[in-house]
Amino acid sequence: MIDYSVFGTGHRAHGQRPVFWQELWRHELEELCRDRPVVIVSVGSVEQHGPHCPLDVDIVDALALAAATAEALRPDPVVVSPPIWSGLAHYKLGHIGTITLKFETYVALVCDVCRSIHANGFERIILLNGHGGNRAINQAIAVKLAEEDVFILTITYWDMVQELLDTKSERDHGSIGHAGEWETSLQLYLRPELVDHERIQGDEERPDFSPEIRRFTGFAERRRERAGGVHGEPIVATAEKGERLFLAARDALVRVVEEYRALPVRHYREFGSHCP
Amino acid sequence: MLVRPPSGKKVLWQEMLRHELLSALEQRPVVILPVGSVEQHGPHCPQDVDISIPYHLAIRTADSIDDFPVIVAPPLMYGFTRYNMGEVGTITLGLELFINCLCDIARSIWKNGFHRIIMLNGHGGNLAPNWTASVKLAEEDVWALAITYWNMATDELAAWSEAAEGSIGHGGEWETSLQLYLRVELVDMSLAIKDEWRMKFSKGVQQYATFPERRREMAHGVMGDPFVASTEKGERLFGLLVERLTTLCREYHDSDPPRYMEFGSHCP
Repeated sequence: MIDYSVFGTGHRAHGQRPVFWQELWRHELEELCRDRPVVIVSVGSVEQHGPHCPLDVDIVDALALAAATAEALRPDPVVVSPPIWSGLAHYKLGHIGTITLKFETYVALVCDVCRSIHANGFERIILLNGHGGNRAINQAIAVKLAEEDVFILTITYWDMVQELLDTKSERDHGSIGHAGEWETSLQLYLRPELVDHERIQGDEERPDFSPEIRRFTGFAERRRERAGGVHGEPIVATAEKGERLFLAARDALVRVVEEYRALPVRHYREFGSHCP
Repeated sequence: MLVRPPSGKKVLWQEMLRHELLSALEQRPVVILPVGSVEQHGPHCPQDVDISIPYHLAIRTADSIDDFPVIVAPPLMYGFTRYNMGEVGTITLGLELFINCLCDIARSIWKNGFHRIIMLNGHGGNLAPNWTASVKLAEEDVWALAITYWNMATDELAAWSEAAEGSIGHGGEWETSLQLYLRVELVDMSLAIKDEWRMKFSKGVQQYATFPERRREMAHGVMGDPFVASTEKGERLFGLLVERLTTLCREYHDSDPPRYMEFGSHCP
């Protein structure tokens, strides 16, 4: 199992090039840069995840997927950037532990990290997200950066395994939830020592619009939208389910990276433009 | 582009007198803010397709509900659409400014006492910022529902499309149909053209990863096939959308808006 901590993974000790940007030597980055590299930037959140999960579920899921994808594709040039662990999560402040950014701060932070990577000569960037609250704004960030000729692909990891969520859930049908069946399963697979089984509990949904209306709209989340801060049923979580979801997402991401490397780099005005 | 209901009913926020607004406040009113864009829509459609559709939807819905007030706010005509500047006609706002415009308008409506707000969007590039604005406002205990109109009819669009495969497109089958139904005099079908999609990821990957749009992503600025557009299709889709929006207004009217900290909070 790979160590998914942010610093000091020690992979150099095994005689291999590390997958993490921050651990690479200059000559390694220069070589990688020449061979259509892909850089994966993981984004997530540090926020309450029920009584039984640690606070960094959302960033660790994304970071672990990025690292596992880079490992699976060795020796292809896939680099995992330092993670952006802070996201848009004000509504999670209802329970202790959440650290959140304002949307302006988040947009500026993600844009500057991607701009820097691009300026270094790495022109294929994937923004891999693990937190629901970052999902919409990441799309808008991709559009904003495109105007500067910095093209990024933005992916929220559970979108890659929607079919599995639809067909293989015991309780949380079609949904990644929040510290529920699937997020807890991923933690049991990746970091079982950080999950406290004794504290696992489910939460009830509160009343909302009719199902007909909820198909196309809904309110933003409130503080303590669920009494215990859990969306879904962690009671049915298992390490095996976590492994299955993780590997399915990794395989999908491997496919994205392979297709991405094969495509030419996009340019914003390659077909001309009336306005400059 | 000033639209009024054919019935003559007064529904526009900006035309209402003080006593009319005050009286509406007593009746759990819904306010619809149309949100769109002024941008190129192929050679055959006008520039204001994306604001005209939510604006007309809002007016028609407001006109059809008589037992409580539905008021249409002055439309936010400008959106987040720099990538459409490849063809002449596009006017765009920056991302942060656009989100702040939405927030300031919704916040003002809320502070006036109107606590059931719908931000009804008609432009793809605004979809994510519109939702972001609603999340940002929630933290201030200002509630506004973010809707992009074609998401009210996802199944029907898929079932009824001849060429669009369920996509609203851009100056294609569905947008052109809606324009033919709403404003036929502003469409010149003799100029219509169909564009081909350029390089894409494989179908599997496209389901979860797509690039942002480039200038002239389509050679003539059209996504979809305007040649299968018709007034009848436009009328059918528009009627369904009004029905859905009406149902939403009624449920909204019957319910109380959420309160951000109604269940308590560790942090203030």
